[in-house]
Amino acid sequence: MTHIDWTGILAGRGTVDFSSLEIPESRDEFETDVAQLSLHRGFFIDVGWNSDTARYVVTLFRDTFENALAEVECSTPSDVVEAVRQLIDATDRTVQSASSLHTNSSKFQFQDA
Amino acid sequence: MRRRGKFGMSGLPWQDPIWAGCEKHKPIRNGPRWPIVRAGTNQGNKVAKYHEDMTLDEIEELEMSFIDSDHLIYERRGVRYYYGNSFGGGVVGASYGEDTSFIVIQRYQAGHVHGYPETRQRLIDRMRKYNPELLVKFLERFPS
Repeated sequence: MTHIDWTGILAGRGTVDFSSLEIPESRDEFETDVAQLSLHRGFFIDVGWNSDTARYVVTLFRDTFENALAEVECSTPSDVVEAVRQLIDATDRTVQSASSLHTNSSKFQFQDA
Repeated sequence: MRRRGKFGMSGLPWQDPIWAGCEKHKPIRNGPRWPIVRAGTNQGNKVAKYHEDMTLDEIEELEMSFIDSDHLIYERRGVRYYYGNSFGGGVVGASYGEDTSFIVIQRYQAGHVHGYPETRQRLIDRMRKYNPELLVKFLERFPS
């Protein structure tokens, strides 16, 4: 299992709403909600598990889950951590132009490495 | 010696429960009509949703009411899973395209509490896998 230090990854740029201390390589069909991080200015990052595809889904959204700005599918916990880092950085970079990000209704699909 | 109930797998103590909110599952205000929201819970990543009539205060009260040994289904990887149901038996939300009066509550070792609507059948499947004794009691209490 991969130990996750979300607080260290956030580095003061948000808070951990909930998360288990470790993320296993695989989960069962009932372990759907993995973690949620609150960033500044109404941004959130949700980490979920899709048992149909057996992949983690990292979603960046603002204010409501329906206002998803980016969705990244990941195969491994390390991919999840990297995706979360990239989304936090992207949010940092775009925070000055958050309104344009907010009104962009398209859903970005990133390919994990 | 590890004291069961107070310390988790990591040896760290279980913190007092504190509600973590339900951003992913919270009701959609001024959004699509409920039948569309309900159908959406069986599409894509199948995110369960609380009913639009539920307030956040009601959701918090509901989720925090079932953090006790009577409703503990199992503990796995630093998370305790509980079940609960609406106080009056009414619909609290939808999961997998169905209205439901049941919820699952996840209590993390750090204390965060997070829940979501769950179908009766998936609750049964979960209990059958992890806690058959509780399933017997559950079926007696909720026969249909």
